[in-house]
Amino acid sequence: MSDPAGTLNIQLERTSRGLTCRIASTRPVTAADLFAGRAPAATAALLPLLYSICAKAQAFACVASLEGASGRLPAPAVVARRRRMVSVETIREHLWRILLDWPRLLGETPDRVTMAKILSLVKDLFRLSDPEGDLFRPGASSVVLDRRGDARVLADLDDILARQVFGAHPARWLDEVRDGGGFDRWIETVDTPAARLMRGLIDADEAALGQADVTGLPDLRDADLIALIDAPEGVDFLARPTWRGVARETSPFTRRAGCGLIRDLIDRHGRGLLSRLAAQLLEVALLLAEVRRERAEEMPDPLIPPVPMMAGIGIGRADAARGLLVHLARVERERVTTYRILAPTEWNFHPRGILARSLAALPDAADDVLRRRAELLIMATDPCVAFDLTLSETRV
Amino acid sequence: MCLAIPARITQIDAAGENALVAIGAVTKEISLALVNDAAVGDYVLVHVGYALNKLSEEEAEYTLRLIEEIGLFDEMQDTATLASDPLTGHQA
Repeated sequence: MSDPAGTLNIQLERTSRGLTCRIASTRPVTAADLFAGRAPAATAALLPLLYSICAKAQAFACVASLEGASGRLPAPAVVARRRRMVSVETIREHLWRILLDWPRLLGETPDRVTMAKILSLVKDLFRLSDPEGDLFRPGASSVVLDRRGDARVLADLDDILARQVFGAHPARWLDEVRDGGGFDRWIETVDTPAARLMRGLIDADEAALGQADVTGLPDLRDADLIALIDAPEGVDFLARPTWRGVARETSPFTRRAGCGLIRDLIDRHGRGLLSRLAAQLLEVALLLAEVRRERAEEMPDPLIPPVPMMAGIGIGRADAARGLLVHLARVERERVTTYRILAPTEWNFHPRGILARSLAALPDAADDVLRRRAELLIMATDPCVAFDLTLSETRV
Repeated sequence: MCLAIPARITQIDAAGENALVAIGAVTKEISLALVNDAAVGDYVLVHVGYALNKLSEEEAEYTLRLIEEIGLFDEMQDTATLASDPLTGHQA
């Protein structure tokens, strides 16, 4: 069955040399060609409709690329508010895994009731931060916020996460779980599915599974991205990106690998399953703290606003839930002539990327054990589309 | 590519928990646990087996026209269908 949104077909095969992994993708990486010929404003309005899984991150990268191509620099407060929306979306996407997939992998029932509440609260936060729906329009110049309503929704979100995920108010969890010792105390004393999954991985000696030596994607310059994406072979790059000929990783794990907690977990358990899942959890708490801070202080813009590299071409980048999302727009005479999107899933599910190497590094085991461990690693890498996982024996 | 395709609900089970939806020519079973008051004929955005939210008919049809314009319902793009060489866990 084909799915227009694309699927990832992941095949693990037992051979005499251990496991091999093949990843095939049907993701439509050139779908953004659709925007060629449209006006920038129409592109900014249409794109999140089509790319609606991480619509805020897509809208952020889109408007940044279009504003960059037009030489428009948005006000710092506008960029900060847009970024806040992306953070809220990332929290939602991680909670999807934590509340629906993590319990399933524990053999428990996905917590759909809590996830439905989260979806509703996130919609409220979006509405309160962007009541007119024009924050991601090129040239947007003002921001508004219903502070009282926003505070109320954030308090509800904190309460739910305290009960169902962290076992404490997320800010308190951040204070208490700042290193490996705090993490140990947390998994021993809290009984949420997230804590149980982490505890179970350590007890079953599965915490270090799936270690691989794929390095993180460095902070590429706009000129480098333009050269790769806007080249004649740019479509191949979008489908199978590499940097200096090597597959790289861009993910919550690479974003948070420098945090004290994740550094401690890497020291103890390596760059495998537990450290990767913990990075998603940590990112929820860290982003919630950022979102709260912005509400309290009208946080100054922490980002360098997009600076046009050259007339008529712009790069927009967003820290999307699954890693770095990059958009490239070329605009001539108020019309988009080229539009391209480089998504994190193409880096992380590259045939020689982090997921492929992690899976190939798994020790062989009974089918059901191997499948469960593979699914855990896939969840820890987090594709934004459906995937098929097949196990097979050596072909003769 | 992080696309969510609008799907039309064609059938809902007796418990109201799961539905069959049509996405282009494809039929899928999805969970309705994350949306309220979904009915046969409604459009929903589908993500990895769940209906994410309901869409107005106008919004859904507009998005579907965009998707048809790209040709995603007709064929998968050759450039995006990539099979890899196998990667072993024991490479030097």
